[in-house]
Amino acid sequence: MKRIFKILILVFLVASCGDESKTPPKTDIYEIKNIGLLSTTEYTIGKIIKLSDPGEWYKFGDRKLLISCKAKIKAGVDFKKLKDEDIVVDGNTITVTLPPAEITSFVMDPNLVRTEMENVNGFRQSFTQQEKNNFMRQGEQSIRKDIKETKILKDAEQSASNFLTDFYKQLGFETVIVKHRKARPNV
Amino acid sequence: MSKFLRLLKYIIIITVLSGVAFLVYWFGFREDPKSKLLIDDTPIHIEAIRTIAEISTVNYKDEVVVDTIIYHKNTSVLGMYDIEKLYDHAFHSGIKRRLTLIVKGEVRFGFDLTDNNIGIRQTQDSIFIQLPPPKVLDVVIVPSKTEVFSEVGKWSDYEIKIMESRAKSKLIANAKRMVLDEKSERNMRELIKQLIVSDKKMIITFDKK
Repeated sequence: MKRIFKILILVFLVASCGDESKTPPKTDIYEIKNIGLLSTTEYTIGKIIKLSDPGEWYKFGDRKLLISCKAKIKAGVDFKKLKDEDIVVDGNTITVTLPPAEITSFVMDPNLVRTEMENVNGFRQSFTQQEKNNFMRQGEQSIRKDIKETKILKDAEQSASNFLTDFYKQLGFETVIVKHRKARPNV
Repeated sequence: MSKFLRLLKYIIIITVLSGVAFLVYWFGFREDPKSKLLIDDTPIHIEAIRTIAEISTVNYKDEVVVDTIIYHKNTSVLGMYDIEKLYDHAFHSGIKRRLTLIVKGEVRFGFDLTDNNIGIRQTQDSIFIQLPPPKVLDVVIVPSKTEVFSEVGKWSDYEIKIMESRAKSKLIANAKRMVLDEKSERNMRELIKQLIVSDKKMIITFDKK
């Protein structure tokens, strides 16, 4: 028995010579870009991320997880897509043709993410943060897909029209006509 | 010779037992980090809708690393009775817990005109436009641009939140070092000039912070 213990110690000592090889990468990559986005509507979207993991047949126990998260999504128009011919002045009337509304910002604030329920039983292991991040990624994709079904872009176009109407009226124009170019259908 | 054979026997027994224990762990207990578990399809719900008026003029993209390491208080090999500590000392350089996140994010600078805080005044030959000072409008952090680079030990959601907040602060600090306020003001001037078609002289000023 003593010998087994000595061998075990030897194995551990040899193994302890290894060092932690994973060092975090140092990054200094950045990019500065000039933009011109007018965000006019903000939607706060909530979603429950639900996961059941019964595991393989040879695993005893299952895992269940519920995470609630929120995304703040802004929509508006990109002024960089505005061409000179899109603004036409005729006396006291101005006609502006805006590019179609688009999502301008998508933020999932970590402070608004909460694990509501985590149930692990049998011989299963708890969810790691890597796994949770993977589920959050799927949740993000799902929100990005479903947001198109809401009225966010329509609201953004309406609010952009209101904003520009007020802006040009303050500049002295009596009639302000705001049009929106139609979005190209995705091919 | 018999001593050597006995030693060899022990080594073989230990190897076989370790192998069996490893197989039991690998197939019975270990969760495969690469397994593609799919979340259920649940609906989204709109919690709030807000009308805003924000003009973003500069976008700063960056990648930051946040790393937290917690070591065992005493990494002495004498602490044999603590198997976990011994294991961490042997295989994780005495690290009890470690989490490294790589966060790719964006910081947007611009002008918040939601409260209609834009002043416009005209004379016969000039247009005066008074705007609020530029500020950080958004810090875009999303799970798809966040990578868990290294994870040792258990980490609570609260600890993750703190680390992600640190990443957010780092992004803002890096962006502010670039003195993007001036660039933001310059871009806003160009944008306003593009929107206002007029022969009049345009004077655009910004409130001080």
